[in-house]
Amino acid sequence: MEMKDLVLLLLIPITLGAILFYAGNSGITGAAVAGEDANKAGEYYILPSFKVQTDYNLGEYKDLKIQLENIIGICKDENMEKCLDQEAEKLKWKCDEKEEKILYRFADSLRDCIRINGKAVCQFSFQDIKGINDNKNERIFDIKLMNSYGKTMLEMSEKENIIAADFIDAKSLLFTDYDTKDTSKNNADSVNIKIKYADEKPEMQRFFALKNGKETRLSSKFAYKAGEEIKFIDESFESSFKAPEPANNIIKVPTTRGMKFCAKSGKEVFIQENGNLERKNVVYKFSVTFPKPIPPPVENFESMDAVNAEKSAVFSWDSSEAKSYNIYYSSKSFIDIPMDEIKKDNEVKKISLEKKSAAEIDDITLSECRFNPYGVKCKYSSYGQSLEPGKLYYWKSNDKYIYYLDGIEDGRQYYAAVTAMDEEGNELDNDKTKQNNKLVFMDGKNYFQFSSKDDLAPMKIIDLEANPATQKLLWTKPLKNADGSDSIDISYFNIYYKKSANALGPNIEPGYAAKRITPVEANCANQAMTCEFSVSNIPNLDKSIYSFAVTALDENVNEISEADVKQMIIS
Amino acid sequence: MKSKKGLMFELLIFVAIIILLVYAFTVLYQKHGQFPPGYRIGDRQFSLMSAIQEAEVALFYVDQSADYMFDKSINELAKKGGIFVENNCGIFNGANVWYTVERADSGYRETDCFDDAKVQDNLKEIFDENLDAYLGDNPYNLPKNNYEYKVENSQITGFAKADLVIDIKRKN
Repeated sequence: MEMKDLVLLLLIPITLGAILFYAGNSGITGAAVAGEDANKAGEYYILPSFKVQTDYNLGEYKDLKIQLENIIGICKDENMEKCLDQEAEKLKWKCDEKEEKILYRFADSLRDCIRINGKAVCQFSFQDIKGINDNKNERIFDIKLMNSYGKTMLEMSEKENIIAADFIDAKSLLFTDYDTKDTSKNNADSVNIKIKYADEKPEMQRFFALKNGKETRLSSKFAYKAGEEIKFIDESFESSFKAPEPANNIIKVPTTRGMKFCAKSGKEVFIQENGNLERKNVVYKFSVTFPKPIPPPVENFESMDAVNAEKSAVFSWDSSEAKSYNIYYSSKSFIDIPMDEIKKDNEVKKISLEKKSAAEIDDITLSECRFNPYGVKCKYSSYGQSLEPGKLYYWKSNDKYIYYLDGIEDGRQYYAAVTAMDEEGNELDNDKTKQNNKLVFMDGKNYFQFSSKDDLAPMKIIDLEANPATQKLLWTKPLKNADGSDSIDISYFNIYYKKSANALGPNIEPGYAAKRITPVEANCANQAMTCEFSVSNIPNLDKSIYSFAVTALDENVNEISEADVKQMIIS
Repeated sequence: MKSKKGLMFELLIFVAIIILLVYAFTVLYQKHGQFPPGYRIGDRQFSLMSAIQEAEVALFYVDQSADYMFDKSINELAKKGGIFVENNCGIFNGANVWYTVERADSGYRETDCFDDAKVQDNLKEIFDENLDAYLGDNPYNLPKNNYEYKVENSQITGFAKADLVIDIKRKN
């Protein structure tokens, strides 16, 4: 055998080997397995992996973001909204959207309504949306709200062609009457709106909730926000929700200001819409919002013990741009707790105060409060009246607000803070994890420690009698404090005496000596109403005319300054 | 005239072929009578070929679906401003918010709400959602939630986690 024949012979197994090697490494992912089933001979397995190639570049997002950041930087020294609008024009980022605005604005309205803190009636509108029917006489749109995966989907269509869709964070579709608006849970399967635009004016044709095929007509102007939910309003109760404050806190929505941009990409994609496959330019849609600044912390907050009162304190702080104020107080410190946690903490009490319900005071001296007459609350100097607890006062001459807090414990350490709140219920977040966050509690600025001191004296003794025959002083134990509140802690009496025929009291005439006795010594420790004291217990009295006065003291030895005087000849 | 060496080679090939044919005949003869009635030699192979063909059609369906859905996802993600799940800054006029700009002590203060580094992940999310919905009523019993994705600049690769299983049907 020649060499070339040998090579030829060797080529046969080499070729066969190469074929087998190729077959084993060809990327074939399928595998067949024989089976014993009567209907099938086996199964064929294959991994349905795929690879899609495109000329699209995700880096466009980064480029757009840098551009947006740049124009925000450019506009910082100018009217931001106007400047951004001009820059968007230059960059061809202006959006050419018309009818979609109907849905987006409605969705924004509901979103802003959900964001409102506390309870409110949200007033929305389909007015002022231009360019809807400039080419046609009239157009009719259907908007449907449905629950979808824990959210609410809004879908707008015209002649069954879907125009726009959006989502809001509402877990359930609810509607309510007026009386049970805070508690009712009338669920709807869907909320349906039919709206006609003719001559650029909307005409609400239908607005109803559908539940098990039953329709309930809803208000096309109002929604109600309570807790974490918004509820549409049964149309038959709409008039009740229209009533102004204090019945309803009506807020026009949307409240968020912003600007939307639509930046076209050079990339085209095939999109199937309403049954047609169309080639469309990719358009990036993004927005910038201009949130209203949250009211800053209140200035010059002060807390003091209420003068001539027990279990109460007075707060005052500078007036500021706010719709209302919230006072938070607790016996535990909450200076570093974020506001959303404070609100859930039952140990921190909250008092909400509307600015417009504040009573106006021209001037007041908070450190001076006199009883005139006894039996009613003391009256503050310069104001001439007492401060009622639970009420907000506006101190006009100082441009401050005052609040009188009662119901706290005397001698206990408390912490208090005041926050300003805007119309949507926004207040400082006290989030100290945010860098440079100024919307926080600061000790001595908008956050204070305070305690109430019992400086309320028992009532004046008005029936003192001096009996020369028995050489005793007689009086009735006071059951009230000087402000007319019940007194339960009378602990002492001061017996004032002076050799004098003058009827002037010890607060006017100097020279009175005093002897302090307990109710036991005055024989009126328990239920006994009449107290008595024998003047013979006072040592070294001359046989002469003496003036006597008696005052009651509580456990903190609070004592009123006035006392009636009686004379008696000491025998 | 052929050389002696050429004759030797032809003879060698001839003998090899004869051996192969005899072996094949023997194998087939042994199998005779073992098949069910109506079965023809090659039926199983044809069934396998049919299953492979069906799988190829399904793979083509997946490829095309992925192609459509990639386009759809690119478009939808762009409409959402590259954000898949609404962030704290929310939505304005149907578009996700990239920046909030509020008045501060000195001028304005902006808050960045859009992390462009997450766009790839967001595209994966939206693509997965779209593809799953699209393949939801496919005629090939393609498994659901079956992909892990890798996105590179201009391509997306879907790595199937489970096999597509196609029955190799019996002819008889």
